[in-house]
Amino acid sequence: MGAEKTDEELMLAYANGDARAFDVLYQRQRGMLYRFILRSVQDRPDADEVFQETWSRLIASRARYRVEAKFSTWLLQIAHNLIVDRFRRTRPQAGAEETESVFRELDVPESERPEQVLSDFEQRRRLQLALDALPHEQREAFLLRVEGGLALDEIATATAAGHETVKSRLRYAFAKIREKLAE
Amino acid sequence: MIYGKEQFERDFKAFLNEDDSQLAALYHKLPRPEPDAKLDAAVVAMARRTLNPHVVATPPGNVAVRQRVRWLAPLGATAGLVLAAGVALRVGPQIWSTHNEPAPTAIRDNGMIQVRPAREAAAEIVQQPAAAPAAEIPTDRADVDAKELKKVENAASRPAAPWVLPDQARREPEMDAAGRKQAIATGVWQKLHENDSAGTVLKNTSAILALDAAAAPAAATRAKSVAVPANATTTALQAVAPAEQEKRGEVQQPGYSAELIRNSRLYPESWIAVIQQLVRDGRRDEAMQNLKLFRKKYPAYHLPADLEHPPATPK
Repeated sequence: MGAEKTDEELMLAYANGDARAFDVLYQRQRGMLYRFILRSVQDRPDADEVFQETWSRLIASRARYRVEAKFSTWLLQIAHNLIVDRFRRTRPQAGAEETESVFRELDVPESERPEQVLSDFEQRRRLQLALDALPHEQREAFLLRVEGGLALDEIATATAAGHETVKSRLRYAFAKIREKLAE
Repeated sequence: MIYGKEQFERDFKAFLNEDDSQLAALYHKLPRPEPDAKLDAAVVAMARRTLNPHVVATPPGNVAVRQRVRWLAPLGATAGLVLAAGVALRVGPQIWSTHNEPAPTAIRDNGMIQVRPAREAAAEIVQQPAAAPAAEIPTDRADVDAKELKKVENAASRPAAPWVLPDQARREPEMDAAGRKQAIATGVWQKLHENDSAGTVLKNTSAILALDAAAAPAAATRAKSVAVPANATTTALQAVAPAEQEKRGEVQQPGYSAELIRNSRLYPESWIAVIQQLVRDGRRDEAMQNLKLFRKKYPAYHLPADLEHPPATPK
């Protein structure tokens, strides 16, 4: 068995008609992509649809694929565009009720909390709530960083935003999450 | 406060530059949902289908269905032969009676052979009640009891009845939903409606099975599960809209017919089949409308060759 092919090599192989290459590539990326989408759209049926559509777009444009960036950047860029379209079309903002419920949970006074040092479970729960409460752009930038493993420039490419804009979004997201975790 | 800000900057820098920052580590402890098997199968099937556009699209993840398709052709050929033989046996005497002398039918009665016209014998077959299996003509029995013989004679003395099919069969009963779905999934449906000759065979099948229905109720059930109106493909395919798509409740767009909206809720493969049927039926405008909407909804879908370049409208 030779050295493992990179994602980019696999994509090129698939574009040249190698179906097995797609299988390997899909296995590598499916979990990361799905979690990025699910945590962005926060709804399983919507996530399923965007996930399938993302791959559909990728398959359709396979012949035009050129190795100009990391494969995952390209994949996440397609997903990002679809998510943004969906937000514009169907859900410009999170529902008031949903937001309220998040804030209700986050606004528990310090004095009512039994422990200052949070359990691991509690930390995860708070992270989840903090993520859900982030504005879409900040959450997406955060997810592209930690779930997609993209660097600042790659996030800028994927989201078609400026370098400084992305850095600012990440800074806000980071600050809000830390704040919620430290409360 | 200054220390706090410095600490924050340090942590943020680590978050930006390291993949295993504290926050990233906590994030990776969150539940890790993944796409389900059905979704995986759909994506992989889509990728393969695009590489092999000539492969007929089948609903993803249904290996059993694809295996059935493999031996469908020999099975169909065998069934066709059996049906043809059945038609010849059943219809043959009737044709002889209209064109030539009736083919004689023999009844042996204690060694004496009575000869009757075939038309009468055939009429008897049709008119015997379903619960009377004794109505079959005893040609190879030396001793027929008097009661049975009387029944046969009575039947023979009746006026020759035309080939009236029972109502149930004449109406060409509809397939139940499950049968229809299976037929579509296995490709039987398309094969049955591929051309007129297939439709003719189907109609003959209905007639034969209707005759059987007069002889036994079990046969009637068989006719119900096989006989299909030859021009019902489009309507039937439209009825196969999967429940989950129905649930999604796509918004009706102005300018689209109800039929088009209904088609748009089908699986892409089923919708393509509907469009192909519309083209075959000469309903080109509707086909083009469907195709246009299909392309809009599934821009990445690789269309079959006949729809990539649909035939021009005949003048």
